[in-house]
Amino acid sequence: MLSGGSRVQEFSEAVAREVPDIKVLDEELEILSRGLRLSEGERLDVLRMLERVYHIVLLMRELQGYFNNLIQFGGDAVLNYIFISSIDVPRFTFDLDASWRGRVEGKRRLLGELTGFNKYMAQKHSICMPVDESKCLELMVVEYDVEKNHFPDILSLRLPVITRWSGLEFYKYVRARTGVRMKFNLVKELRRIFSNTLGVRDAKIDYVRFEISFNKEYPGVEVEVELPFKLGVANLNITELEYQLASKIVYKLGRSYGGGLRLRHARHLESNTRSKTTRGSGSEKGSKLCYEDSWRDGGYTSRG
Amino acid sequence: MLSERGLALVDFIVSTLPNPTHWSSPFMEWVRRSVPDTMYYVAYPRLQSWFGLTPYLIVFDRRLAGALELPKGVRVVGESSGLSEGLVLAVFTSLRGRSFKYSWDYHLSIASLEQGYSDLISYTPFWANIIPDVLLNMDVLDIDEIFDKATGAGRRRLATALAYYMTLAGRVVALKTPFYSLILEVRNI
Repeated sequence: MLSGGSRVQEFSEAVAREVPDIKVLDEELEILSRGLRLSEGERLDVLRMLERVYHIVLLMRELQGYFNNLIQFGGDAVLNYIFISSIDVPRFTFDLDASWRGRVEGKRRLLGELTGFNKYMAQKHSICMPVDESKCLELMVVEYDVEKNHFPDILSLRLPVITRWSGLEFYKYVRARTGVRMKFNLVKELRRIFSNTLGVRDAKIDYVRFEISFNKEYPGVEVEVELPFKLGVANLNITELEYQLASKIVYKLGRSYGGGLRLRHARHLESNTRSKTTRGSGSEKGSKLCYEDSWRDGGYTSRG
Repeated sequence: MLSERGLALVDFIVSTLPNPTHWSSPFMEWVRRSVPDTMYYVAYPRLQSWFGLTPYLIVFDRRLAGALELPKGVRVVGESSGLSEGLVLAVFTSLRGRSFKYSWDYHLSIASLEQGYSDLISYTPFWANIIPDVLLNMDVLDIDEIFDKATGAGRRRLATALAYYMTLAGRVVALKTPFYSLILEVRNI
């Protein structure tokens, strides 16, 4: 059982603080769906995905805030949630790609930097889930994703987060990761907390996966972005959009996968080409397309 | 009356017990002869899993500071630099709240497992050599107790090592101590 009311209160507050409110997800869904009428099943599906997207965007903000100019973002998450979402319905993607701007001798050196980031996260987003009378398990700290360690210059990482719908039930996660079997009284009490704060009894723990490539330079630009989910405005270093699109043409569309295959990457190209062809037209001024307006000035903004 | 096989088993078990002669060094003899058993204890890495000489740390009650004339080869922590492994180190501090007991095998006061590692990490200059023992024996050791018994510097050293190990190995340990806040940040890139 959780000992002491303050411990219950502390964990309950941390859950309420770190897991997005359902209203926040709903509002974001309204923005993204652009008037599309979704059935209840479809709406729940999208909400489930948006909950993970929230954590991806939050992670991106925190990485940028901690590492400043040492890190740069690119890939599907940036394209979909920062740029495409301002002009079209985004395609869901659940990992975050980043690159390290400085020279690194190896993965272990970079992991040393991420240990410092973990301190930052533990102070800013401290959420320690009780597993017995006195001990707790720290969530929202980065760990090395050993299962995905395939490439020498890409560091695969993951961040365990509490979610409502995706992942492993919290007590199963604890057993799988630490070997601790939580007592029923504790499970019951945590269920009560989750039920009161999140609206689900068996909250889950899921991983937000992200990768940091290093020792390879990409052309980058600093972008002032109003982040989704009301996560504020952030100055993000991103790989130049033109470079990302050209990469997709060369490495994805340009590759032969066999006849008749429709590639998902065609969607990015289509959306972004559309945004570039309308730039400077002024016809969409004041709408979410102000991303194109600022393009003329050599900078980017998004989401209007 | 034990059978022949039973006696053989008893002999075998007796042969596996620790051999006190291992501790019969001139320094240990001096400790036994000169210091009350309740005013010191010996800390050493009992789960040592690495090659090299075993370092010993003798923790004396601070009331003995100045009253003892330490034999040659014993250095008091903090008083000299350039210490090497294998040397016997001594520290004078309060023994309040320390966990140790007299060992009838060694005829010496010995620190508990956690107290020993805690002191070695807190006081010795070769603390980094001790860390792997802790990380590799997290199932055996009570890490929270090591944190509780360590000094501020020891807590920060252990927290940094633990956080780095958990980040690197993707291993998770449930703890009472909020160790992430204790990490020593070192920019190594």
